[in-house]
Amino acid sequence: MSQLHPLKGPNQFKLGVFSSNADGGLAVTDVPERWRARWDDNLTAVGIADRAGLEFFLPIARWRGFGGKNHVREWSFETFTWAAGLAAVTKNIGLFMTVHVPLVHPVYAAKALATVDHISGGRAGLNIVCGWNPDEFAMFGAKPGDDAYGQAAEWVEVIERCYGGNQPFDFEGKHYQLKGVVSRPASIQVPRPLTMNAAFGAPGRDFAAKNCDFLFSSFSNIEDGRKHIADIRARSRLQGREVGIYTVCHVVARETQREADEYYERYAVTQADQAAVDNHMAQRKEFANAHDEDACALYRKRFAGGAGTYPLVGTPEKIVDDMIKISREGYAGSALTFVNYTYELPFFCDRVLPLMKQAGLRVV
Amino acid sequence: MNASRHHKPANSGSARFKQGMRALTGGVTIIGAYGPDGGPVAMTATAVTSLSAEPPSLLACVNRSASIASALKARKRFSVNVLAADQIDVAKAFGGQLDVRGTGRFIYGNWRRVDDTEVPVLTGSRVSFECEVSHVHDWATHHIVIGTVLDVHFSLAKTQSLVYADGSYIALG
Repeated sequence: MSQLHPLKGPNQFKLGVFSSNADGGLAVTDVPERWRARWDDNLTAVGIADRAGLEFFLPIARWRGFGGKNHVREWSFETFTWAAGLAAVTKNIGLFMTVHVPLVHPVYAAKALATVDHISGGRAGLNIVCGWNPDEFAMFGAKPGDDAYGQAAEWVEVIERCYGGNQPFDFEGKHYQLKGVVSRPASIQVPRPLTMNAAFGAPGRDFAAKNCDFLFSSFSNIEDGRKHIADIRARSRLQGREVGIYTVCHVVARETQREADEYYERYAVTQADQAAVDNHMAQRKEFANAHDEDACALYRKRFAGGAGTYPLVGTPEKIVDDMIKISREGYAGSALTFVNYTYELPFFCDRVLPLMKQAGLRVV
Repeated sequence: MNASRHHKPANSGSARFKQGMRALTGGVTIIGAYGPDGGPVAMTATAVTSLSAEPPSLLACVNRSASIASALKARKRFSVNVLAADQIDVAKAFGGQLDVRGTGRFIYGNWRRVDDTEVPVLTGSRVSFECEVSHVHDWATHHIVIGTVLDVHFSLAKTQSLVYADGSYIALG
C-alpha cells in the first residue's frame, strides 16, 4: 500500500528545497562553488534531504536563463522527468513538478503527473504556474494570455476529470475543447496530487483558493507576512477550503553570525553575477506579479541572494529564531535555497533541524 | 392493569431518540466513494455494522440526502474506513464540523485510490474495507446499504481506534 504524503505529516513547520534543478539554484552569483545543477548534484542533494526527513523538493520551471556571465538558469532540468528520476531513488520526500499551464496540455500533464505519482507511491505534487516571461513564451510561439487564471482553472478541471473516472468525456471550455478524453492510470492520491501555486495578485490568489492546497508567498519583512496570510485565508474560506501557506527563503547557515554575513555579502554582492542581476531585475519589474513590489525595488541583494526571497542568514540559533517568527505569522513552512545544496544541506540538517525540534517546530 | 400508565406513544420523538442514542458508544468510520460527477465524496458515519463473514459483508446506513448516497448509486463501489485515534480532525472534516466543503474536505487525511477498483481509501486509518453495493433497502429518510467486501486494507497505524460516545470523539489508548 502507498505511504502518507509528507506534506500531510505532523511537523508544524515543514521544510523543502527549491530550485535545485536549475543552474545557480535561486542565486545569481559568480562564486566558484555556485550550483551547477548536474544530475549527480540533484541526486546527492535529494538523498540528504530525504534521509533528514525534509518534506519536499520543489523545482523551478525555466525554459531560458537570465543571461549574464554564467547564463544563470539556462541549464535546467524539465520537471516531470526530473521528479520521475528522483522518485525512483527516494523513499519519503514529496516531489513537486512545476508546470506552465499555457505551454503544457492538461491531458499530457494528467498522464505525466499520474506517472510520477505511481513511481513515487503517492508522493507527487504539482506547482501550477501561468508564466510571466515573454521571452520564454516566444520560444513556443506564444504570448502570455490575458485570461491566464481562467485558463488555469480549466486546465486543473481537465486533470481532475481525467482522474475522476475511466469513461471518456468531452470538455467544452473557453480555452479547451476536447473530445473523448480518457487517461489511465489515475493518480494514487485522491482527488489528485497535492497542488500549489505562488500567485500574488487577486485573480491568482482566487485561483489558488479554489484549486490549490498550498500557496507560496514571499515577503520583505516577516511582519508583512501576516497580511498575506489573512488575505489568503479569507479567500480560501469563501471556497470552503483550507490552503496551507508557505514561503521561500535563501539560507546561509554558519557557526558564527560573522561568517554567515561575510559569505552572504560575498556571493550576493561582491561576486554576484551583476549582468544577470540587471537582466533579472529588469524583467521582473516589468512583467512579474508573483513577488512583492517592495522587495523588487529595495533588495537587489536579495535578488542575487535568492530571487527576492527572504534571507535566513546567521547561526543555527538565529535561523531558528527567524523561523519561529515566520511560523507565528501563520506560515506552515518554507522552501529553502542554498548557494550549493550539497555543501550546505548537511550543516543545515545537522545543526538547524535539532534546534527546530527543541523549539517545537518539528517533531520528526 | 392501568392502561394509561403503560401507554406508549407510537413515536417517542426524534429528540428523545437522539438523546438516548448518545449512550450507544460506537466506532467511527468514514465512507468514501467517487460521485456521479467524477469527484470523490466521503462522510463520517457511525451507523456501520458487521453483517456476515460468509460472504464478508457489512451494513451502512446513510441519509438519502447525503452526497454519498448518490455516489453509492452511481458507482456501486465504496470504502468503509475505521478511524484511528489520531484522526479526530479527519472525522470532524467529513462530519461537517470544520470550515471545509466538498472536495475541499480531502485536504484532511491521506486519501489513496485502489489500483483496479479506483475506490478512494483513507490511508492511516485502522483498516479500510473496500466494498461493492449488493443491496439497498430504504427506510424512511435513510438507505440501508449492504456492501460485499472485496478487499481489506490494513494500515500501518500504530494507534488505537477512535470512538464516538455522548456526542464526542474519544481517542482510545
